[in-house]
Amino acid sequence: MTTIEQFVGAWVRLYTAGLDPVDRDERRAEIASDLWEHTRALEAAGDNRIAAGVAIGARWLLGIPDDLVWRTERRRESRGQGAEPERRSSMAGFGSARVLALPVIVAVAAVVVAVVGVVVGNIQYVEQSERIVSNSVLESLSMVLIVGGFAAIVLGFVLMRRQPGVGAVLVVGGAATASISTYWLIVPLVLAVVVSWYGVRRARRIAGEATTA
Amino acid sequence: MRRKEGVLLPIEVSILDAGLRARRRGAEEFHGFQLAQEIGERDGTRTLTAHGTLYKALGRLETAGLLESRWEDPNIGAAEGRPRRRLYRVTLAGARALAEAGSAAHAPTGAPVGRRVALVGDGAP
Repeated sequence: MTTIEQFVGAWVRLYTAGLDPVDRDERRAEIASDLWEHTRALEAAGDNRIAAGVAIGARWLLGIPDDLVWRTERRRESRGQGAEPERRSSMAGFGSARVLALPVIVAVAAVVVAVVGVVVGNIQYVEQSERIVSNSVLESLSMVLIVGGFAAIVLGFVLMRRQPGVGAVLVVGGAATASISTYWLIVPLVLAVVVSWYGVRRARRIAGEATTA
Repeated sequence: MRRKEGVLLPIEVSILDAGLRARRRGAEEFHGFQLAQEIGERDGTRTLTAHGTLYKALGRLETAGLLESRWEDPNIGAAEGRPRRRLYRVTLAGARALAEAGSAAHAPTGAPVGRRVALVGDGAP
């Protein structure tokens, strides 16, 4: 199995985690089949590994929004068909202000730290390089990373309401991406990981309490 | 994506069209990657339809009765040393829906389709 196949496979396992077993297993098997066929077709066409990685990576990347929408729809549907206690758990747990409170703090904290990291990192970089004009943020790739990172954080924030796990991953990834071109990379990443992990644990615990109540 | 009831999206038109073209070539059933290749060849694009977009659309079409699917015998895949395939086929309702979409079926994937079609979920082959 190639690296890109493993990578996309990991993504599929992530966004199908916690779904109905039939939906989960069918989606995983279908993508595994697709990846296998695509890889063999590219090999047969004589594409090298990099070209094959780009071709498969592009299909993965462009499909992420639909993957997330599909997951949301599957969860909504399974909740609609589920037993009453399960539905009550979802309504009383992940949708409530109590559960939402900490993920909101996670998102805000990650954004604040990422902003500080980006600003401080760029100031340091500009000062040390003594090339203030040519190292402008607007002229560098870091702007793309910053915008993309914050977009991921916002999306994670939105998803946290119903899917704390996926939301936390996006917040963590977004914070890391936003600050990847600075000297502060590790700070927002560690903060986001720790607080997100704690937030998800807390959300699940409260949801569990709601189920048993 | 939200849309009006009974309207085929461009990706759905492309899937049904590709499925029927495969059938005309003698392939009654087709798998997901085969579809992506068919659509890519028709549109003349090197980047194939994204995984998420393709399989989400396939699920919608199956739910609407325009496609039906089955998993192939795992022994076949095992004998060929590959994962088993999910095989799709266009239903009669799917062929009818595509026909009603008319000339839109020959537009590029990204083009607006806007034609209303009847999503009759009879599920007949």
